[in-house]
Amino acid sequence: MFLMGILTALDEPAAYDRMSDEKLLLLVAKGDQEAFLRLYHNTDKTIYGFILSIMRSPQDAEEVMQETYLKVWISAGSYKSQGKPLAWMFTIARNLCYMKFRDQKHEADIGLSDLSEMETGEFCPQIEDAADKLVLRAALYILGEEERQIVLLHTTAGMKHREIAAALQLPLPTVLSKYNRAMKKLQKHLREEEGH
Amino acid sequence: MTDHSDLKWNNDEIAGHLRSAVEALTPDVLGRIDFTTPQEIYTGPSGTVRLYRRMRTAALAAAACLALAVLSGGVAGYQNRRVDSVIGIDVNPSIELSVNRRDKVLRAEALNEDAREVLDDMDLEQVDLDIAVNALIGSMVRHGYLDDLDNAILVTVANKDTEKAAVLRQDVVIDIEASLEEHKVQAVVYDQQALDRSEVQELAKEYEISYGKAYFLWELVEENDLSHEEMAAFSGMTMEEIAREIAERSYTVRGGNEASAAAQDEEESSAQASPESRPSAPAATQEETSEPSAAGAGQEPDSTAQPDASAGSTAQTDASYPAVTLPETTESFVEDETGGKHVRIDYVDFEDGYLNVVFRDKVRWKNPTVSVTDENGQSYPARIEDTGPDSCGISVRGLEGGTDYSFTLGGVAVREGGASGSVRGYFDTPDIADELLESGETEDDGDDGGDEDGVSGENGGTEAGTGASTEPEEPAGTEPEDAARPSAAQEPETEAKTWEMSGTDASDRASGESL
Repeated sequence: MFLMGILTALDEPAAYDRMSDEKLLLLVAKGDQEAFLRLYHNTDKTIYGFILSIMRSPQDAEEVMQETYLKVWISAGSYKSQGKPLAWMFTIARNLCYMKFRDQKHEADIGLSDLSEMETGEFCPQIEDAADKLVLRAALYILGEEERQIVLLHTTAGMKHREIAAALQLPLPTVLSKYNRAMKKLQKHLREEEGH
Repeated sequence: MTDHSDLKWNNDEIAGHLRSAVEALTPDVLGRIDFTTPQEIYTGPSGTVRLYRRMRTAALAAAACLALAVLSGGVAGYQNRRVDSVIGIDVNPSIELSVNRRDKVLRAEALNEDAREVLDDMDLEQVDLDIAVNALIGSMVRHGYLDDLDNAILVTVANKDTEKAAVLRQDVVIDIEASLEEHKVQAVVYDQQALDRSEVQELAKEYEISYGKAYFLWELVEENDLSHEEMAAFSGMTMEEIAREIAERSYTVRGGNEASAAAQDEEESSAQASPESRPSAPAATQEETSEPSAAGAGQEPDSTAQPDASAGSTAQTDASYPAVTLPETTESFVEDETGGKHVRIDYVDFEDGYLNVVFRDKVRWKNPTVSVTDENGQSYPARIEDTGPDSCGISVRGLEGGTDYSFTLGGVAVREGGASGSVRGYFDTPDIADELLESGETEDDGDDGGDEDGVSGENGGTEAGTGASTEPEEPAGTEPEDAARPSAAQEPETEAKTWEMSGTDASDRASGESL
């Protein structure tokens, strides 16, 4: 009996380890918190990168991220199994981002440009490395929304272009060309910045 | 700032810095998730249904008021001061023009902040509708709401008399197109006739958008069974963004009698072209096709127009290719005695052992098969991994780099009216395939030469390919390609085409041929 207890205890986490996000999500739908934790750790950087690429402000991104995971918890049951759990989570995150924009527009008429100017002074104090900060700022403020999504998902979440294409529902060639174009833009910008 | 003068800012460095920056930023919100929040159980009607049920029960009074204003206008008064029709124009600025029987503007109303900017100090009262429309478009261009790329305009006409509305709608679209041309701007023009619907009134109110936009979104939601969240997301978008979403997600836009929209027929296919759906879009897409072609010709005036500078072998085969593919350059066919539609390949993309085939029209699948052979007829193990409404993915093993291959897909038909058959296309593997496989996913990071020029615009790949086939007034069923390409035998044309196809990925080239 005792041995079996140990065995199951050892067995359980390992099983979650090996599960696909899809499977985890289906378990989450049944109220499995352990599966949720696993899913969170599998996806947090990707989801954050995605949200940040839309919101651009780390504070807002953090709030939306929290809302996103809560929504994932609440609505996991509505996920229709089709092998695209990440795309589903992106949809939730994107909608919450847009709602956030709407709310902000209601609250005060602060344009995005104002926001970006506001943050010029102290952009992301959490980041210690100055070069990291410089590059992220450039990526967030000189690239278009889709470019930001593609670049951040590829570089920070380690997603392959094909996976990005599937998750964003864009044709692969579009993703490839946007990625290349965005990286060139960044290079040019950073080199110019350096020249000054 | 700091000492990063030793950095050259290559892609790896940029990626590395981004990674560590985002890693430093990623918050831990796990502790803040409240697991006691009850989970929703999904068994009953979809969110959409619930949304409408709720809407139907709400706010009839407001609906009635708005209906009066929008549809019948002021009943009393002189005929000339009576509102006969209301024309809504949505870009992001949303403007409503109320006109009398003689199409003179009685009132121009700004429905959002952007519109106020556009209408600022314009006096459109008693101006003829066509002049007013022209002035509005001009003002939108000046204020930057219509720029060179990716614009979308929604025209909504409301009149009790549907025939009158249909005529007016056509007139307005013609006016807008003329004005766009005059201002050298291209746009997708969606047009619709709106009837009075209380649920739409409610939507308009809830999301603070114009009745026309609400009507458009309401139909979109109905047609595509979208959720409340998606509706909310759409309502916050500009028409341009909505148009892009529609194109990218292959949503259907209704072509019914009460209201129809001219959608980018990239998604709709020519069969959809009802008298009302006016694909005014192509201007934009055509532009995008011609761009790469021109660039291709300019870049390499010699016969081997190939952006891929990687290999002589490719260039060589390329020179021989047009001879083979000339008859139908990028076209691919299913033989079909019934005179139904052919399956046409938009573009093909090969990467990393995976072949992506994208079709121009929606297709259906029935026991799909695939075979891949090289020039000598030797076949390779291939398997269809994934079939979609307009694409499929095939994994192929054992291919060598820098070689031409052809593939044949069986069991595929155009969704509307095509018989099941097969389609053939070509692709070649990148020369540097081996290197790429070794270096893993960083493959794309390299400087791919003319890559991005080949795929211009927002939706490069798709649009570049479809552009040529979106000839506006082309009746259904005809091959639009013929119109776009007067003589198939023209050498430069062929090269440009081939180049255009290859633009989808610098090192790949693809084309199709009839079987």
